[in-house]
Amino acid sequence: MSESIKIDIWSDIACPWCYIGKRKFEAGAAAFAEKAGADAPDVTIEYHSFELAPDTPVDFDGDEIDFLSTHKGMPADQVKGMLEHVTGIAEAAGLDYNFDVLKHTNTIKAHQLLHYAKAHGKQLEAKERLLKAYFTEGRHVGRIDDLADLAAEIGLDRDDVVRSLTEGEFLSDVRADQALGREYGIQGVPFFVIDGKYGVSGAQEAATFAQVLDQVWAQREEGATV
Amino acid sequence: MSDSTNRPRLTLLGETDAVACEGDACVLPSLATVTAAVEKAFRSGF
Repeated sequence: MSESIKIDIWSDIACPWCYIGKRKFEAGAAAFAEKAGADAPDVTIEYHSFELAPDTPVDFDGDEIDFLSTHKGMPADQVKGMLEHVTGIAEAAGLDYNFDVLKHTNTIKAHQLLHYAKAHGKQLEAKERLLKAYFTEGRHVGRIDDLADLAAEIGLDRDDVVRSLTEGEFLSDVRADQALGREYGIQGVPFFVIDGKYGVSGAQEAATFAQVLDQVWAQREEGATV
Repeated sequence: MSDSTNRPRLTLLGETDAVACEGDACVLPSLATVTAAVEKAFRSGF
């Protein structure tokens, strides 16, 4: 078995393309593993923080269409049409987006929860739970109590999560991720860094992710035999 | 604090027109972005 391929993913929670990209990457990684067979290296994933709109308020009284039309000054009908398009693409990726119930919020605390979860070996579960809560279930992912409820659902200690988020225990880790992202020149998300050497931007097709992993693996094997 | 002195520049792989989010435009992808994504999805048969 080869050494695992490390994938560092910069993304946000309030990022429709990040969830879609997550699904496509997972499908691509599965296809790569199937093609590589028994020799396939493990793929290790770590999520990193990226705030798309850090000035977003924690609470907003209204739905996503209200928020976007109010803050962007666009006609509600046009916003609705765009969201329907995104919902259709998400559906094709196996995701159920419900912008009607989505609670627009600031994601800085959610990012801190992802770091807390990483420290407790549950970052991947937390990432999936937060994205589903936000895009599918209309759960609030900006308040400490709501985040603690979600954390408890994946087996984390609710009281300790409240303590951690209240203290801002992992805020410096979020800032370190953001600084590292800037060093890499990351301007948009999702963004995938492979083995610290290769970058893949955006919600690529699953086949593209599979091809990229295959390419990285092949180059690594070539390097090992030189 | 990360050490950027030895950090290699990333070699970009994959398609260059994949949909990504930049700034709060992510929350409301531009019409051109969404249209391109939809067209690409149709081309690839979802």
